[in-house]
Amino acid sequence: MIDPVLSVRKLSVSLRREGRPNTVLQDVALDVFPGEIVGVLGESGSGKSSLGAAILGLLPGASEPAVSGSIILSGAEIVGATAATLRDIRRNRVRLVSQDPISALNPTMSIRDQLRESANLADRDIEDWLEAVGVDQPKTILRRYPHRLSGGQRQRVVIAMAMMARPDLLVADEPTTALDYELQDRIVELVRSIVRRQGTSALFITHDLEAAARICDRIVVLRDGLVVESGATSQVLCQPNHPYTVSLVAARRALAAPQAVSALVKKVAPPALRMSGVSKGFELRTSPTSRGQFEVLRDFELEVGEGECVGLLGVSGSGKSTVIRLAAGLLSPDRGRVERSGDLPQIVFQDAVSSLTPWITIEEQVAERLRPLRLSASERRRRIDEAFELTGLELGLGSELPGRLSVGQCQRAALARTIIVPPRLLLCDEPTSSLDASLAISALDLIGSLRTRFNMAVLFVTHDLAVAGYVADRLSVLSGGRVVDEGSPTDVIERLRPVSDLSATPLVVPDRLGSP
Amino acid sequence: MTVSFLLRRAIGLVSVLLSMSFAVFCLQTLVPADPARAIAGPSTPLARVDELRVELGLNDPVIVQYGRFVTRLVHGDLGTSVRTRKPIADDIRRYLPASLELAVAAFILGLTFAVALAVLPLIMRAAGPIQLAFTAAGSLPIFMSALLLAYVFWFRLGLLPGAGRMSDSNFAGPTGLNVVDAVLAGNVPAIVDALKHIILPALALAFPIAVAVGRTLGSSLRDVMQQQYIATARGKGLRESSVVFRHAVRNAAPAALAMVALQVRLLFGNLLVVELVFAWPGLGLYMVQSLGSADLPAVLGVTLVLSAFYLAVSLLIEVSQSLIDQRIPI
Amino acid sequence: MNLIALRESLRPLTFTERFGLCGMLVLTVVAASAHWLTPYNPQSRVAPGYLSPSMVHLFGTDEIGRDLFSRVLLGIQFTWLPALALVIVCLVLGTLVGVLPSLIDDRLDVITKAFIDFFLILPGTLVALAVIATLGPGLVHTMIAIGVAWWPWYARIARDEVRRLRVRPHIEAARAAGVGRVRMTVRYILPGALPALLVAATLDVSNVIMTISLMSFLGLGQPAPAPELGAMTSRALDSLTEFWWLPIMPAAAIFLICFLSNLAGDGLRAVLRGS
Repeated sequence: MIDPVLSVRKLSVSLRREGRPNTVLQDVALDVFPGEIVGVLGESGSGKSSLGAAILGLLPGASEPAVSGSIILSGAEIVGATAATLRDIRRNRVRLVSQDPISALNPTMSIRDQLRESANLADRDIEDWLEAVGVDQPKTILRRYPHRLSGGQRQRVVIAMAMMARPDLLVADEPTTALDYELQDRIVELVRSIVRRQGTSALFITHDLEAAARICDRIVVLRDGLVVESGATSQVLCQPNHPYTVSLVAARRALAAPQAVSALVKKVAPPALRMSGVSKGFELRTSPTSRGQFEVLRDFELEVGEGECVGLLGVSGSGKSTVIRLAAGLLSPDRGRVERSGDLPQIVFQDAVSSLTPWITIEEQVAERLRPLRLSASERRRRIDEAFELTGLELGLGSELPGRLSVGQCQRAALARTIIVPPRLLLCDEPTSSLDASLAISALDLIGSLRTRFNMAVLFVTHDLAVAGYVADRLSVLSGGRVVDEGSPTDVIERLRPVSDLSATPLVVPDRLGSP
Repeated sequence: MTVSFLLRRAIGLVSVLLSMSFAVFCLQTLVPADPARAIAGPSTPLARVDELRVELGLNDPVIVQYGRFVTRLVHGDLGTSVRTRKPIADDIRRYLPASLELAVAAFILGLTFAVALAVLPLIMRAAGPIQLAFTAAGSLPIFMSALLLAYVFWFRLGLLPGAGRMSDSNFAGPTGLNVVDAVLAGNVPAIVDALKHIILPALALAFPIAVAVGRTLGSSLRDVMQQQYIATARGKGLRESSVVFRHAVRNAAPAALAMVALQVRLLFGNLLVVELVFAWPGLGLYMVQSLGSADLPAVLGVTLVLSAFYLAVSLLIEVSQSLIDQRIPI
Repeated sequence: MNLIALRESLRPLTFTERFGLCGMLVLTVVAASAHWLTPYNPQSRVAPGYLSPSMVHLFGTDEIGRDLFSRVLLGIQFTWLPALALVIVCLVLGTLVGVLPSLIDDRLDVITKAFIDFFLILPGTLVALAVIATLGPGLVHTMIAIGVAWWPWYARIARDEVRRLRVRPHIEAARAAGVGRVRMTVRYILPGALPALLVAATLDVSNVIMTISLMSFLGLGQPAPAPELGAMTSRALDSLTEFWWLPIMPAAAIFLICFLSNLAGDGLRAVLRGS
């Protein structure tokens, strides 16, 4: 009987939030055996990050954590361990790779200093490690400071920093969430290969089913601090037992199914949006003492026909948001032209909550665009109620402030604001990327139904392939400041991800899983 | 640091100084008093005063007068003091070292105490009362603390002298900074004497500095300790002291430096009071006397010089901030 | 800011913060009604001079025989009310200048920035001293001098807040919704800038008090018989050894009002941070 590297029993954690204690984890039990990759699957609020922190004894002191139960790592008990024991364990036995690499690295220390702190290795060994994680030009990177690295580079550095200590266990807490999809695949692959190569065990904490499916041997599903299901990956994802797991898998699978054919596109009418030869640059501080010009878009061409839904795919930093702002008239292009038929397009933002002004009531914000129309009080009331109804927003919420609404309700309110005077063109800036799977689907369906009802053209910008495939009639791919591919969703996605097209995701084909 | 950056900053500095000199010049012309009359005295006949005005060029167009003003400035001529009847530049040169010595001593003391005060809440658990004590300390007006220090240590305890820089008023050295000069001369009784004289006024000045910078550093440290990279550092298995000193302090420093810059600004007002209370013969006392006798040219001259001084110091602080935290643009 | 939200955030205030806020209110009332509260006439001789503090004369009497307690009370009025007024005026003026580019035209921003920076770069006290040396002593002149030095602080904060808020999603959404310039500034931006401005104002009150008393300490305030706290302290400096209450009591009064306003400032900051 092999001893597990990590053995968690009856772990309960309670943290103080806003002056009140909150039970974050309850009676959690799990094992990680040598050489295994175990996934912890959960949505936001499930307690998964606290689990990761608890294993290293790194729960935030400010939250006055109350921990009970047992966490045994390589034979040492973590719960209630002395500071010296914890230090030793962290140094040699377990390391954490966390979500956001920019905040995980000290902004005032060079990369070399931070890496050297991690394990007493010679410079050459450190460079080798950087190469192993796929960082080009390690010598240059070592001299730099974190803010001068790209997101992908930072995450690779953080992984190298953790692995060079040769820990028994690597805890990876959402290592790819802050990165873009292209990068996500690669980082996930990197984690898997480097962990396998060294024979390290890993605890892979994530909300991303596909990533978990790809590299985990076993999966533990966490919900509201409780373990609701655990078992081999293929079993959990293809034959889930617990209703929560069932709904999670179903939501993701729904996105994988291509949408029914959308509304007919009238080719005769002038396009709702045409951007031709658009270039846009920004000033960027390349170093504390010099500024440079950074060109985000170069000769960018895009057309959205009336009533059409065009998806624009791009990695983070590719300029997607700039395209939205140019299309909306919030920015002007340095060169080229932006033509619109009809009045100002409306925008649905990524973070619905922060797109609402905190000190103005929902009703006043939704009705903002009615002001210039000078309607009678009854007409105004009617329009507002109609907008609320169409977006599924309860009428009573009108007099509340945004702070009182849930994320889903804010999403609806923001939508209501855009359709109260239906625009010709609706611009969507990644409106679902911060939402959980089920909320995302309902948001997309809502946008779709509103679009059909008002025959709006939609420009939908995203990095998520599945979402783009779900909504768009046509897809364009943005890279290097210009459009590099376009066509029907299935074609474009196939070209982007030839390994696994949507109908053959690991979710549906069980025999692809479990192989190291 | 690129040449273009230094050039840009130099030009910026010069332009600020120019506009400041213009403001000072405008203030001078606002004065209802007649400089010619002031120099000539009340009993001189009108004809002679008018002659004097022509001599002084007071009837020339404003631009010409300003031009002359700037040329004089460049040559280091700040005008003549109405009160002492000597060139202001000379007066400044005479009294500057004393103020410089006091200011430097105040900052050395103040920053040392600040670091101690900043770390105190981290060590002791009683956050509430410490906060209160800080607030109270920061509410103390400078003349009160100066008075209390003088009262306790000079009057009641008789430990330290209450006025002046040295017991022997003829002591003078190359730098004009008595402590430094005494050390250079190897004159131990003089060193002790100089120190005894400087300690009370320096403490009075150091007190608000220590409180403000200590508080800022403390709260900045607190914020920094919550950051993710501190958890990462701990996750590497580092000792807590390493974490605090290698990781936290560097990130907390820029905010504290900003407060130091603010304290340098506030120093000028406090300097006046402390020099007055302790009869310290520096620029502050000079300024007070000039204010008292409505010696506008002297006041403005000192203002100009001290402002230029402050600009240089704040530039230095901004540069150090950028050096510590590379993200901060200069 | 919605009143409901404000009321909800008042709950987590500590005792000291509540004490400070109440203290400030009491102080304002006392300062405003000082004339009626003084037990003796502060301007005339009511007893032999140099009496030490007693039950009859709480703070003793000064060199002329005036009741020091009454004089200090009046002095509080002369220091606290002008300080409050000054802070409010600077706040309003500074905010106006700071939001000007947002109200009128964005291109104005370069000019306003240069304007504000120029004023800010000079040490406030020096500017105030220079101005007052030009204008001559007096309460109004002191206020003008300090006001000139102080308003850019608020203008800079207002401007920084406007710039910070303009790139927030909800402002972009409002722009996309076609909200006009004036309504945008007043309804959408200003309420967001208000917390930072109010925090700065509360921090500032005690600074202004200190500067006012410093100016009067240096003899730049109102002429002799006026009961200004700073002037009372400096005029009685020599009496420190024999009649300690003469300089100490006025200075202690300044300490008290600064302390109360700092506590109130902490309290206000806690409230605003909650919202």
